[in-house]
Amino acid sequence: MVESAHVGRRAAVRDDRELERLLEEAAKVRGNTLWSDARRRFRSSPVARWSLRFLILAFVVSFFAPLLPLAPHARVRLSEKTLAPFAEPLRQDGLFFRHGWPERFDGGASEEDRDALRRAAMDRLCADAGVIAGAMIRVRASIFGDFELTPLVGTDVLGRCLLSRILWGGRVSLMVGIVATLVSLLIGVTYGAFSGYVGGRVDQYMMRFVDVLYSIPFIFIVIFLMTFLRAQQTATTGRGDKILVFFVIIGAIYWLTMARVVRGQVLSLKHREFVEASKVLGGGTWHVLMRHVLPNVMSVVLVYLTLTIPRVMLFEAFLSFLGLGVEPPDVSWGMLAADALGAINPLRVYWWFVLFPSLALGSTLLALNFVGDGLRDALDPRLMEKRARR
Amino acid sequence: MTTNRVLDVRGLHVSFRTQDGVVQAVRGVDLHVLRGETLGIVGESGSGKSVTQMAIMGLLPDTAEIRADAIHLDGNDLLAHDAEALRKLRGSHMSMIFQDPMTSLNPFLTLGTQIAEMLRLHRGLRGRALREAVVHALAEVQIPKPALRAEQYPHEFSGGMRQRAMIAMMLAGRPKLLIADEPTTALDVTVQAQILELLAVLQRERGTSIVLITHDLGVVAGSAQRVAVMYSGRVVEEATTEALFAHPSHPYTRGLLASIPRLDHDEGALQPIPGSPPDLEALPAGCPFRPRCSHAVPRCSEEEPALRSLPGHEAGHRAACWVDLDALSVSAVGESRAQP
Amino acid sequence: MFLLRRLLWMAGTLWLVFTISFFLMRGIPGGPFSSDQKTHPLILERLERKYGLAEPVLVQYGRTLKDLVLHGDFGPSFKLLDYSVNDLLAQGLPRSLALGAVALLIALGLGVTAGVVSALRRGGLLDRSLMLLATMGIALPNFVIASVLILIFVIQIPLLPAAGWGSYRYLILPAICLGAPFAAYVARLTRTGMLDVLGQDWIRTARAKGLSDRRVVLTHALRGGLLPVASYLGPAVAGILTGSLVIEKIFAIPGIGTYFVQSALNRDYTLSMGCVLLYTALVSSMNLLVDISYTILDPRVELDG
Repeated sequence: MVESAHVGRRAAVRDDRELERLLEEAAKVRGNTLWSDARRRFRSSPVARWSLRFLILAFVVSFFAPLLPLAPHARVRLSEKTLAPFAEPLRQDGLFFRHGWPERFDGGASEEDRDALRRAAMDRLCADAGVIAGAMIRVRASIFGDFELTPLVGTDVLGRCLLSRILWGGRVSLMVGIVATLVSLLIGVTYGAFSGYVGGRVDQYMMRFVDVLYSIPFIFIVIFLMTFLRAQQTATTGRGDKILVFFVIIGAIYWLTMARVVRGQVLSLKHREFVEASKVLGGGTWHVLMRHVLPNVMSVVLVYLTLTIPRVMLFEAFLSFLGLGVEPPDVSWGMLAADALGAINPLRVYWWFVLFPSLALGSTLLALNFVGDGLRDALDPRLMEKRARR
Repeated sequence: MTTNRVLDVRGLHVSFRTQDGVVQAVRGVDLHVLRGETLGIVGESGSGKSVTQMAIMGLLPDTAEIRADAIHLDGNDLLAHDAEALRKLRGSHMSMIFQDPMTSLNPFLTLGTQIAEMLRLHRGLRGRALREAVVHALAEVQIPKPALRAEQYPHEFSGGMRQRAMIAMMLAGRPKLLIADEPTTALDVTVQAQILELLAVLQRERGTSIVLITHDLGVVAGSAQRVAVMYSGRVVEEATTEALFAHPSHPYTRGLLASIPRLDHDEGALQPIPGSPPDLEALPAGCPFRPRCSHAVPRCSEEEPALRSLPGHEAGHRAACWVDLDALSVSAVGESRAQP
Repeated sequence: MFLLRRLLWMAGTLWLVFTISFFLMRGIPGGPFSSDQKTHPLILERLERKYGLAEPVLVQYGRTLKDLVLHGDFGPSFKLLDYSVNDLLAQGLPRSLALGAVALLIALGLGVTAGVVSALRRGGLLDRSLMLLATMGIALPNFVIASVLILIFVIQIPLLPAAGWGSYRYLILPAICLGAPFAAYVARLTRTGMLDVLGQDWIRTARAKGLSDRRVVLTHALRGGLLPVASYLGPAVAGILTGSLVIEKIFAIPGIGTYFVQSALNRDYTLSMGCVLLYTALVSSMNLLVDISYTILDPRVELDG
């Protein structure tokens, strides 16, 4: 009896020490949550890290492109057509704001006329560019005035500065990628989370509906739709709206997979203990969804998101390439690639037409894919286990 | 004596290179299996019992580093064999059946095809003879309607039937040695008994030697003539089955025996072994069982005991422990009585 | 039974696509004959009457559907005079199919080989360079690949014709450009699938049987490893068809893709309808084929629904 009490006490002391050790370990583990863990893993992959940096750079440069002292991307100047990279333009007169002027008009006009023309040209330029870019153009004008860089990477068949076109094209391409993906995210996550969470018959019907939509080759219908929308929109609304419609349409195609992915994830999370616990404690459907399910779905969604952006951009490029996407004076990378291909001929090779737009589009898409892969590797603990087992 | 040994392993070391360092999974194992006998290998997961056998079979991944003083299989020096030569011994001289019959059979091929592969490769059978041999092999493991079953896929079989088919397949090459890696763990208790019985019958008929890996001492008691107990990559006790159950001489073996429920006498609560097995990446100095051992003496934390014969026990009964448990248990009881 | 249900399902899809397309086309103002130049109202009226555009939309819908279902007739092309849509499709389809089939073969051949090699050499230099190439193939649009290849193999080293349709030599470059992204995807899928299967217990069993590495890979691993590729075939075919729009345009191949883009730009109702339905039918029947092939590949899967 005495001995067993003694042993018991000793065991208790040992248990206490054990408990302390465990608590200490737990404290250490808590600092090491999924996200910080993922961040560390993501950083450990140089390809993903550099891709992310490149993307941020590309995004910033494209977004602030209107601030740069470049020629207007849509300014046609036949006298400077097909200039090779770094070639000096024929005339160095800093004509930034004479956008749309007939070239022979430069000589005669009086000072006041020029000022008026200049102001009108600037207004038109800003109006064409939209609100944000327009404001940036005014800022640019107050900094650089009429100064513009020579066409660094050459000009196209109409004498437009290729660098300027690539950067402005990047604005559209990246924007389409991001906005359209967000649209698909919004629809897909809502639909998928609801379907997976409610479950049962509703879930069955909702997923059946997705199956039906899957079996329809939407891309063809969209191509179809785009042509008609173009015809209609030029008549009734402005260009900005059309790009918006474009975003929404593309986003609306890509939500299907997102919905499936999210539903699957929610379905598997639904019966985990912490969700059950929250339900037992009286959390409403909305509360449980927002507080417990969504945060855990985030990682999957994020991975899928980064992999959707390049697909959407590819689709935009594809449409623009066919002449069904954005329209002049807007540019996008797909359009530039189409222009380049159109200009290929056996007599004279304008390599810079092909090289630079392809490089911009290609490296951005590649970087997006690398970041997506890196994120997937970083966030997928199952993959980690596999790797550890090897 | 050596000629009577089908398998003779001396000083086997296996380590794995991982991202976090080197894991020493097997650290100097000596084993032998006699012709026609069943050797039981007992240990908890991570004790190195499976890795030892996989190393002998040559089935470990490239990350494994294998060193040994000698490995002889039926007169073949396995250390002198390259990968290709070792491959030719697999299936024909030594075979292995695995724990989970659900995942160990290829779900895309009929069982007949999978067995035929063995017969073609190791016995050179073709055509009609091959088909008949397949049916015969299935019949031998008491699968009803063998001709029909040969055309079916693994998912059309129950767990027990799959394990039977697995045995038929692995014995089809007439190996001298069959390594059974927890062959019954994934099965129902009644099916377990049937499979063990089947193995015993086949062993009697063919004289195959069997290495039976398990963590279940009950299985060992019923099937094995000799037992090796492994702990953290080493054999800590080796004896005939009777001797091991009658006079367990290593504290770990004693712990194992105390932790199984027994019907024949009621001892109250089962005694689990306190603590958990050591981390193979950072083994403590001295005896690896010391942290969990209630009989530890200072020497245990300084020097790791080797397997040695025990005076006063039958020949071949060996244990790796500094403490003479038989003597100690008497004195320990005396001490606790003496204290107030 | 399974086949019947699937065929019904397919017919339903086709009907749905037909209906959606039909009403989208008619619901948007402007028609095939409204253009920048003012057409004389009388001429317009005659044209519309000739092509049956004057009737109420629902009547048109019923008539078009009836012609289509009963006679398999898409009607005359609105823009290419004296051509019926059926003629045009019959002309274009063999070319597009040849292009698509060669592209698919390239995708599968290159992709599976690269994927298997990659999986077996996991972590090695070959694996890493193949996978880098695959990521590039997935990331780069086929027209970028096309422009680079044209610059190299047509302009710099004049090996292949730039565009057009004729002997097999006209097929090589377009098929490669069309197939490349899918080869890349197939390579990735094969690699993942193979790695997954190679880690399975039954592969260990196969090795324990004493089979050679070659045989382990070919008879035991490949089949399971290719399952994800098989299920990707449906989307791949849809993707190849989509990609063929661009490729046919670049290489000036007079196939369905070219007709489709042209008809969409010209608002040639009947021709684009014909193309959309043809594409839908191709994609659906390919999906059906994939499902059937899946049951052959994997005995655990049974046909239903």
